[in-house]
Amino acid sequence: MIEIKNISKTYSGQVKAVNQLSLTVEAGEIIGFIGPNGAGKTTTLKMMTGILNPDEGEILLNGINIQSSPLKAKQQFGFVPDTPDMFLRLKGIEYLNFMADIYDVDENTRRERITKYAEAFQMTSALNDKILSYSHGMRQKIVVMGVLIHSPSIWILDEPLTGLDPQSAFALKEMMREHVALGKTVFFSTHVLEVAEKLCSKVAIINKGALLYFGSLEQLKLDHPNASLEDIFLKVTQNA
Amino acid sequence: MRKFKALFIVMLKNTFNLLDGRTKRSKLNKFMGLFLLVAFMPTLFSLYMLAKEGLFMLLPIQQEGLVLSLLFIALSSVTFFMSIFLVPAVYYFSKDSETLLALPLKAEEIVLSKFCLSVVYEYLTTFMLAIPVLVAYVQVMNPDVFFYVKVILILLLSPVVPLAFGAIIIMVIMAFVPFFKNRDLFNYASGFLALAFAIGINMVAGGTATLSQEKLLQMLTEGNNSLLAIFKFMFPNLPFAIQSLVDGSWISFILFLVITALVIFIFLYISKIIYFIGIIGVNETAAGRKQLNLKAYQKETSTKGAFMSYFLKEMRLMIRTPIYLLNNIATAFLLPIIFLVSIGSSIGSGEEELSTFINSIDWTNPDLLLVVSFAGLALGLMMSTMNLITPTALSREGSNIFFMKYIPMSYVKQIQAKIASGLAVSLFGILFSLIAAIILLKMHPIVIALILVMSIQGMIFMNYLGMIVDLIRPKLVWEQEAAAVKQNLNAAFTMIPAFALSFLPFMLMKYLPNNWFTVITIFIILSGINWMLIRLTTRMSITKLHALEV
Ligand SMILES: Nc1ncnc2c1ncn2[C@@H]1O[C@H](COP(=O)(O)OP(=O)(O)OP(=O)(O)O)[C@@H](O)[C@H]1O
Ligand SMILES: [Mg+2]
Repeated sequence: MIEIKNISKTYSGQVKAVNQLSLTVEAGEIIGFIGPNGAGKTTTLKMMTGILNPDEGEILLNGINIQSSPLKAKQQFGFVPDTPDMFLRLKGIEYLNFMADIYDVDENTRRERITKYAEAFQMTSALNDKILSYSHGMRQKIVVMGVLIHSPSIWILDEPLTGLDPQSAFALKEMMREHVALGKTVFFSTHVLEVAEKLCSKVAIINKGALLYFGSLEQLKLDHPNASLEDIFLKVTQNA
Repeated sequence: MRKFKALFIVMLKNTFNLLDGRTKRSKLNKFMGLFLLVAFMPTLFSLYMLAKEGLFMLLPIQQEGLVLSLLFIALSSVTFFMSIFLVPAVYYFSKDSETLLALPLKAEEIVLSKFCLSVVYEYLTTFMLAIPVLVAYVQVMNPDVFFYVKVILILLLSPVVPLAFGAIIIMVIMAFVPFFKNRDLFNYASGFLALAFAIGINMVAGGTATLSQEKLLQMLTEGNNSLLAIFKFMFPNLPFAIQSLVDGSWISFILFLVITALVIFIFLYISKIIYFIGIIGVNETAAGRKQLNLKAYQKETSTKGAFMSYFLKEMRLMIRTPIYLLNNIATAFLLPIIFLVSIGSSIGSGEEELSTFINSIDWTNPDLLLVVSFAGLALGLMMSTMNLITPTALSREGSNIFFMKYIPMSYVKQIQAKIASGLAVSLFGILFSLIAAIILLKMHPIVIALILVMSIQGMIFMNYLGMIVDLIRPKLVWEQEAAAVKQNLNAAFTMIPAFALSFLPFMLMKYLPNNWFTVITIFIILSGINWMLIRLTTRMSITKLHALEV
């Protein structure tokens, strides 16, 4: 469960990247976070994960405030950032094991999960190479695996599907579905409306830092009859 | 030419971070700049005094040109030496290279803008070295107005020839030696070459210092600037530059300009042919794509605990990144090796005085207590400063520093793991030097213990101080790993106190009673200082990392 209460963020006193944003995500929901470039998606996700401090408002993850008890809150989620170019000189396996140590995953569980996810993402033979030698999509996959390995109850993903091949994208989407079926939460940003349509129970549309719509896509379509998803999206974000 | 201009301006702005209009210079930064300037003052001043003294000595025998020759030879050699590192970084391994390749640009346009960029890079060193010497020259010689015009032009052009030579050599290597296309291998190779060079110079300088002095005097007495001839100029335009400065000859000056232009022309011509051969396919790394066998797999996936795992990650990244390996780790070996080689070779080559002196030291003599303690302290300070691990611990993270903020490991613990990596390498350096010293100096066990204890105090002090400096001003925006350590002023901020604290105690020594009581008091004071520093680091880890936004 994610509760975002009235958060705002202004960069260096000038750009108001997020403006009084509030939304509540119940357990068992997949939320697609959509909006044009520069809308404030990454900024919101960074505040949720403790990377940025909101100027006002508060964020609770499973009821724990990220500002006042950061360590406990950070144990609730796994985060996939928008740039997967991290720890390039570690081997894939070393990165995964490092994450497992940070999140205190026991030996048998981590082995099981590494084997399972490496197969799902076709990464088994790459694990022993340095991340530096990976393609963009492979880097994306290893970072996703670094989250999956500690099986957090909340997934926060910044454009996790960009760069993945169809097979891996399918695998990840399946995993998201399985995850929420267990009563857990997924919150991810995306530019692909079809993904949001097929996968998400609700979408949050943001532009210029303000939340324009939060609810199911069906409802949105009912509100705008006879329009394609793309048209609706363009209309909603334009009216802001 | 228009394309070149646009390209050069973009590169320049990008390098010096001017594109980013948002970053305002804080008061703190300005203060730090001032601090640095003040800190370098003594060095610059002694350079000035040295030049002045040299001039007064050389003037009666009409050798004043020698000062200028030495200056320009030093400038050119330093530039040439630096070009071996600068050229690959700027021309081949910089992040923009692949982007530029895809643009409709000619090789000469890319090369010329990169060349100008590297010339600008060199200006800091050039002017730092040149200004004190030239001020002395102007004061003593009182030259005419044209001197100033010429000297400014010559200084501005002085990096051109050495950089062009360096670049040509590197370009040939990159084009025809496939081995070097791997950036990591290149960095390792050139780095170790430089280390070997440093050790070599040290040996040669030690060996020939006595010899050349007589020769030098003999040459000096011959008079009339004939000394210029003893330097085999690798840089063909230099003699003309110096000539034109010494006797005001315009013909020499024009010849200087012509030769410089010619070198640029030749350089561009060569680069047109071979630059693209070298740059294509750069940035490859080896990848086996082999599956792990079960045993290796189990070893890789064993639990180590968060702290240990974090520490290991720090060490791995440092060891596997050539620039960091050379700057942060290899230095731990360099000092002891130089020490061993220079003392060892002196003893080996039968310098009786030294070995009799070493043998005559009575290590149990209580008069040595303070000297030994302070030497231990200095050893700890130096070994910890040189590796630059903690003052760059956050800087090295670069744009990935946000990782530290979203994992459920406290900032204090993460910072402690980073400091641990610094302590580990420092301790290694200290032990390595101690072993060298034990072998050569035949020290008494108590002396060894005292040195070790004191050096650990120095080590703790320096590593925590370095961490604090990096917490205050991490350099997170960089294009290449090298920038995080080599172009990071944090290094200077820790080196200056380290030097001061290493030498100051020796100055105060004569005012202190030479007994165990003093030693123990000093030890307690150091422990107190370190305790406070550790507390401060803990507090700052929390506040600074919390406030850090990327
Ligand atoms: N470090 C920063 N400093 C200043 N302004 C920033 C910074 N990062 C983002 N911004 C600004 O904040 C606004 C929101 O950016 P953000 O990265 O959150 O957008 P986004 O929705 O993730 O866009 P995209 O779809 O392109 O990823 C933009 O106007 C951007 O220019
Ligand atoms: Mg974004």
